[in-house]
Amino acid sequence: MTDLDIAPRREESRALPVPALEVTDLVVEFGSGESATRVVDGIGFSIAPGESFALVGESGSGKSITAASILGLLPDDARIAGGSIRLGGDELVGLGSNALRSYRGARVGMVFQNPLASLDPSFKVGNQLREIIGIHRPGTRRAQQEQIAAEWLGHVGIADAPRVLAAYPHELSGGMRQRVMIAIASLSQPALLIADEPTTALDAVIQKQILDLLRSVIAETGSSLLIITHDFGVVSYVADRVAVMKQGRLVEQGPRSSVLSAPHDAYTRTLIDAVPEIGTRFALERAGQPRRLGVRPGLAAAPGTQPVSAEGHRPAAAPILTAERVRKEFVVGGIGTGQSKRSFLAVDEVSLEIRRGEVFGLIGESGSGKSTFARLAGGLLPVSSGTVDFGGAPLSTLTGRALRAVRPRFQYVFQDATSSLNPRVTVGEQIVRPVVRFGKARSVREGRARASEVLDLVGLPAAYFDRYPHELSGGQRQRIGIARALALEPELLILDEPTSALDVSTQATILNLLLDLRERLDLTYLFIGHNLAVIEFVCDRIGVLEAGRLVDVFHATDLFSPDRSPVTRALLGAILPIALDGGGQAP
Amino acid sequence: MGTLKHIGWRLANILPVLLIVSVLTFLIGRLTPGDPIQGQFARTFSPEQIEAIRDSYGLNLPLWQQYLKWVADLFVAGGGNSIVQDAPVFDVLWPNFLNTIVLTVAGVLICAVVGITIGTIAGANHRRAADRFSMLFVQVGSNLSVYWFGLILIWVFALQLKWLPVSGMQSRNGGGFGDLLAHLILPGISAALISMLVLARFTRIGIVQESHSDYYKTFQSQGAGRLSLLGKHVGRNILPPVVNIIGLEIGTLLTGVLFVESVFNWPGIGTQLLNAVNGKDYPLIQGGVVLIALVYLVVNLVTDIAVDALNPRLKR
Amino acid sequence: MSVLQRPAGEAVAALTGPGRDPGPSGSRRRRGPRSRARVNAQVVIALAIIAVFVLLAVFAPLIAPYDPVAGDASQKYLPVGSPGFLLGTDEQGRDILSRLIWGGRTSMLVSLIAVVASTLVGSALALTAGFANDRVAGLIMRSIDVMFAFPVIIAALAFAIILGPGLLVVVLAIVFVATPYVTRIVFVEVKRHRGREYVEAAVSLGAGFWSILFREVLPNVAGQIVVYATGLVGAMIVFSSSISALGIGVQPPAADWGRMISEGAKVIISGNVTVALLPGLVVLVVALAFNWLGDGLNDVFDPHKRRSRS
Repeated sequence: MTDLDIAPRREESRALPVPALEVTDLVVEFGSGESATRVVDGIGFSIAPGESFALVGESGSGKSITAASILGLLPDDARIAGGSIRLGGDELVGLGSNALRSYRGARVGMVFQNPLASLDPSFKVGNQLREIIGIHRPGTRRAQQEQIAAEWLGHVGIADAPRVLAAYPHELSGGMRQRVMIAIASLSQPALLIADEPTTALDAVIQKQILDLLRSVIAETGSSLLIITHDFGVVSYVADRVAVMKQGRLVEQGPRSSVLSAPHDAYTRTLIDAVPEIGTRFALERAGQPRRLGVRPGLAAAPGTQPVSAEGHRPAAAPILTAERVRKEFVVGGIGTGQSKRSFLAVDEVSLEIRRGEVFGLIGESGSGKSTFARLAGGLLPVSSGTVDFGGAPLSTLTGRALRAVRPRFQYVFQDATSSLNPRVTVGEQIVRPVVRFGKARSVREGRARASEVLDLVGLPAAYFDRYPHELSGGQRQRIGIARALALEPELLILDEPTSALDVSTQATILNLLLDLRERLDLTYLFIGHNLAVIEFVCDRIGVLEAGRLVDVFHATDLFSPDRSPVTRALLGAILPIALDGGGQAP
Repeated sequence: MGTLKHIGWRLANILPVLLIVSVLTFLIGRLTPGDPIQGQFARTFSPEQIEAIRDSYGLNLPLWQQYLKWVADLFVAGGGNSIVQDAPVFDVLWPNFLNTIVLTVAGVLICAVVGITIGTIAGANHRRAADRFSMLFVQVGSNLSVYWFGLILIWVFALQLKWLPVSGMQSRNGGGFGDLLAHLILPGISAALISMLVLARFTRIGIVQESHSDYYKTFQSQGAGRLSLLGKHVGRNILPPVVNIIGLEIGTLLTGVLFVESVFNWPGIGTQLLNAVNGKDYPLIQGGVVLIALVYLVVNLVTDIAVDALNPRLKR
Repeated sequence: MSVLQRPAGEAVAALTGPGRDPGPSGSRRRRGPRSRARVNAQVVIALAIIAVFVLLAVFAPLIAPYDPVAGDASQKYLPVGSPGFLLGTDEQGRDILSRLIWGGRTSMLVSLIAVVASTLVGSALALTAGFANDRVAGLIMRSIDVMFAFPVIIAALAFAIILGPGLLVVVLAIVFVATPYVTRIVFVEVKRHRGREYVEAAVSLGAGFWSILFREVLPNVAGQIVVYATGLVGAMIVFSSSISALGIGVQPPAADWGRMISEGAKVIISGNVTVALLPGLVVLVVALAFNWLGDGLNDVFDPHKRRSRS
């Protein structure tokens, strides 16, 4: 079961101090008997005291299960089927839950992915902190517990501890809640801190703050850190050593710099190359290579450091979509709904134009109004005021049949391909229906032919026609979403975070597909996203939204220009590049 | 939103419901074939006298005026006079109504205690034998007819084992509180049966869901014990839905009580209303409906307010 | 009379879903083949039970050994297993087995008709509310609240007063009870699907109102409606037996299961329990069978278990 070449060598570790965590030949299975599925299949690694260790992998690789198995927090139907987990020399596998409890929190602290749900919504933060302090320091009095709690909130960078202690979790922002979680995980100064995708649910700017905090906390407490992540930028930013996991096995592990810059495993290399990096597109361009992910630019340019000459400024083509002073206010509640009436402004006086043939990127943090704007532009929501014009058709004033008549000219690709496909209808049928509806095919037979054509266009065999969405992978579903939109031969595709729900390698293939299609079919894209590196790689011009307002519009080449708004610069500053050069961590 | 404003809002929301219920209730008395006055007095009075009686009951006015008069009577004239007993409807109904309330309260207590207990045992032992067994019990129990279940209880515990009285609310020669309790057990269990199983289901699902929540993992990862997690965190988080279900089930239970009264010969409003139907005593029926609907709405209102009060998101 | 779960308010609605075991997400995926076999076995058993009772009801004149209404006073209160009277006789010397067979005709037919009617009405209301604006939806759902607030037994009595006791009263009473439940359950489902992105996608692909209603949303909720209605048939057989037992349904000497229970109630005090016990047990078994069938159908209709032909 062991991959000998990557398992930690016992001889070596004997000479070193006892590792904070040593995992050997760990096997975790769901179910039992013959129907058992192995999700962790004989992995081994060890983490030295004070070391930061990253376990990287895509969804389903078993990395989170590995983390959960350390403290015996596996789901009900999973169990450790073999191997050993030693914490500072103590064997944890085989311990009963009562024995394990003495390790939980006290020797190992855990931070989870979703800070919004990780605190009990029904109790004040102070109450929850006191309870946990009480578990680890029995006999402390309430006043002492309160003091310790306030002190630890201070350690995690929360200045107004009294307010936070008296607040319910829902009154705090996601970033604040993750700070509280880190305080909880580290307040008994455990030897090991496990962080399971601690920043995945957070915006880029907050992500960086939280990672900085994790680093400073482990530096202060001397804990080791096991960070579970899918993001090589995060690895690059915090980890000393890295292990890459795929389908329950470790394919590679080693010091961060060597794994990132000279991965010896093909899978690791694919993953790293799939990550879009600021500046890569220009490097590719200079090297005369096509702008695709997974292609290493021949020219080794330090990414993101030098502004590139104004290359990509195409001659300004005619606008295809023009938004003028578009506002969208949502009103909920009111008479007869059982709720009181309130409203909020999602999009605030946004004016922009998208030119024929370009890729326009719209970026913003969650809640910035970018998806709402995409829906306004796609005629899926009525505007509150302002106008949207599509190629001469006044979209914002059209309704009913007239609006439907222009719909095939612009199409929408949704973020979540799973929920944007009807689960009860075969994918072929979902492509054929609109084609026949708009007379792009005179018969179902012709529609079928058209469907096979677009399936081919997105790289799927025509045999997929009769499949149901749940029989496809996430990437394949997104391809169907794109095929369905393309079948109507639109001029503009509105792509609402089309890759945010996908793994890095799948994201790369979808982005490459989109770039291919644009060249072949002469399409215009409105590309909505939250990841600046993705937007920069794909888009010609970029708009930045904040709190419903458009604060910046610029060419991709001008990203580093001093004219950029503070919001743009904050986004840029929050990027975590993969340090291929193997140099020290960014400060 | 301020608490008072919130309560006011909830109150305003039930007014339309009350209005419609009252109109429907009013119409019951008017849509039925056969004239109650005719039936009651035709033999003893002349047609002119009957007309006079009809006038005195307001039966010759336009429908909407009759409705307004009827509503006004509810407030000032005790719901108008019962045709059969010639006394204000609410005076006639009140003692029986209280008996019904006694039985309902007993049912609610049994429902809450037994339902939550079964649900907790099942939920805390999710997918283990205790869970499967409890759920089988719940499934079988949910398919029992209340009427039949009452009969079987009588047969087993009153007739065969002779532990408890067969029916009624009191022993013939009266009796104290203990006597009342003995009479309450069987009808209380019958009335509570369905509701307590619904409650058990919800409690179980609530516990299972909360035990898989992220905060549960947080406290687990900090070494909190299972008992303290279940008792403090899970308990507090399922409290609002459980209170909500209990509130809703009081309405269901009240309906069940009306069936149970007929099985156990309980001198409640249900028995009285069945008799009123046979005697075509419409004012009495209408008064009874209004009382029951009011109880239902008040319970719903109190439930809503309680659930809101338990929701930390609505605090401050 | 809720044998049904009543979802009300957001918190509760989230809990109910179609009332199945929520479990941790993803656990369904890992369920082994054994439990699917168990589900199938459950469906087969349920169908078998239902089939037996339906056949008995349909062919009652051929199968029932005696006339269900004509009794022989000399053969009163025969115990179960008496020669010639398999399940004994009642207080008028009528054969209980024959009465059960004939009674099934009324009890099951009445419940079936009433459930079909309330499912159609409730689903139509729910679809309307789900696709209308907030105000119309509010109006419909408030009216449903009124129906909940209106005491069921009084409604049944009102029907009995207006129409005179009979089968129609039982049908109407069931419709009155069941429609609000169907409406709420279906409304929650419609709302849930209405908000899904595939509906938005259909709009973007030019689908009109009716196309979205019938070709996108309805196929997704139809399964849940059938599942719920199936379970409801069982619940309503139970409920109809209670209504009938009050004496406002089928009139004597005709038999239905509820009537038989109430007739049994009169003789139970004299120590004879079988007259009331047997019809109640039959009601329980048939209702459970419909419940199991509903549970089983729930898995059958799960889109994630649907396979393409290829």
